[in-house]
Amino acid sequence: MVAVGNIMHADFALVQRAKAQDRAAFNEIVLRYKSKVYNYIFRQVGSASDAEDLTQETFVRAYLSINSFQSRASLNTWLFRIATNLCIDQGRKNQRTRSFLAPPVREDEDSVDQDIPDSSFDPQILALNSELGVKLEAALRSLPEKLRTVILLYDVEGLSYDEISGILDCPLGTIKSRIFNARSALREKLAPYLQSVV
Amino acid sequence: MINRKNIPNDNCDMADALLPQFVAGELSARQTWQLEKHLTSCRDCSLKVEQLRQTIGLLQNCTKLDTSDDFMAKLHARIDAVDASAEDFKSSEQRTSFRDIFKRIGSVRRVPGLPIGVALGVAAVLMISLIPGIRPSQSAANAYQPDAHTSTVVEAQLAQTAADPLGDAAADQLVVHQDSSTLDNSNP
Ligand SMILES: [Zn+2]
Repeated sequence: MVAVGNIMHADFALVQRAKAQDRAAFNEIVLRYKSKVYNYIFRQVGSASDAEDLTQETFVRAYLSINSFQSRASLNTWLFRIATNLCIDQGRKNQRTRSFLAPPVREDEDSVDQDIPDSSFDPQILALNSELGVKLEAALRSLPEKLRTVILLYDVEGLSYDEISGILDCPLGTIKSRIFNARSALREKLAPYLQSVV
Repeated sequence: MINRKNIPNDNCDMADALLPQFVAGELSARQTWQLEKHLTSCRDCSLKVEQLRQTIGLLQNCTKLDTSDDFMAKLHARIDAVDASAEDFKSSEQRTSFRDIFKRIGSVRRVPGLPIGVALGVAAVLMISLIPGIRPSQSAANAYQPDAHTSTVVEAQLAQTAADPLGDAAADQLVVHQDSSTLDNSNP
């Protein structure tokens, strides 16, 4: 808790300076959070160039609305909220583009494809060292957006149920059940590749 | 609710539905005990528990990727462009003379006892004083139409404000509960 407290305190000071038009302070905020935000967005959109662009957009929006940031909130969750909204918008745009070309795909929260798609991934994915890592990325991409969002925020980024509930404007119970569904779905997809120790 | 029922020893479906909560440590003591009893006699469900734990481990140790080398340079360029547009917008606002006039009318009207007629007269004089030397179409364009680029930026800013991440009630839910302690200066 002490470590979290220190981070919050340092963030608070940076935000106060950034609100007073201190570009160096804003710069420090970006340096502190850009990798976290980029990783999250990359796993949402699956393309390095889109992820880089949306990560930049996240910080441009943060820059423009830093004055409305309430210091009671954490900078971390605030940035993830901006990033999540951008990813959802991007997903909708992509879906509209796709629907011109192909019949709409149902993206139900409950209906999860059984197979991991044999996707041609961004070259950056190849940098992921293990075969299992690649399978995991593909499995994440094949999840419905609502399940993917919660599992990325909870298991990958380490946010709490409460924080995710605030980011997505969803009741805690919904967040929990989505996390459980997402974990089960991923387990099923990855089962053939996981080592059996039982 | 499935959660409140007992788990029969041979009911794998029921056990399966509870595995994620079990792994997250969110079952009641009684359900945990029942599930553990099932697991000792069911290899399939035990395997699933192990796979769930491995999956969570993989997620928590995802490879960390980094942004490109010119990320900061590109971001600075974008922010500079936004700042420049905001400056453009400010200076175009200074040209909105009609808005100023109405502001002046407003302030005149607030003076107690001053007849409204005098205020309107002042307004009329001010408006007339603006017309000579400026063709009406141009003056209107100058007053109300920032250039296309600026209005796009302003529109984007307005849209952004509408989706303002912390301007709404949900922002309160983002509050970290250990607030007072986490902001404590005395922490080393
Ligand atoms: Zn079983």
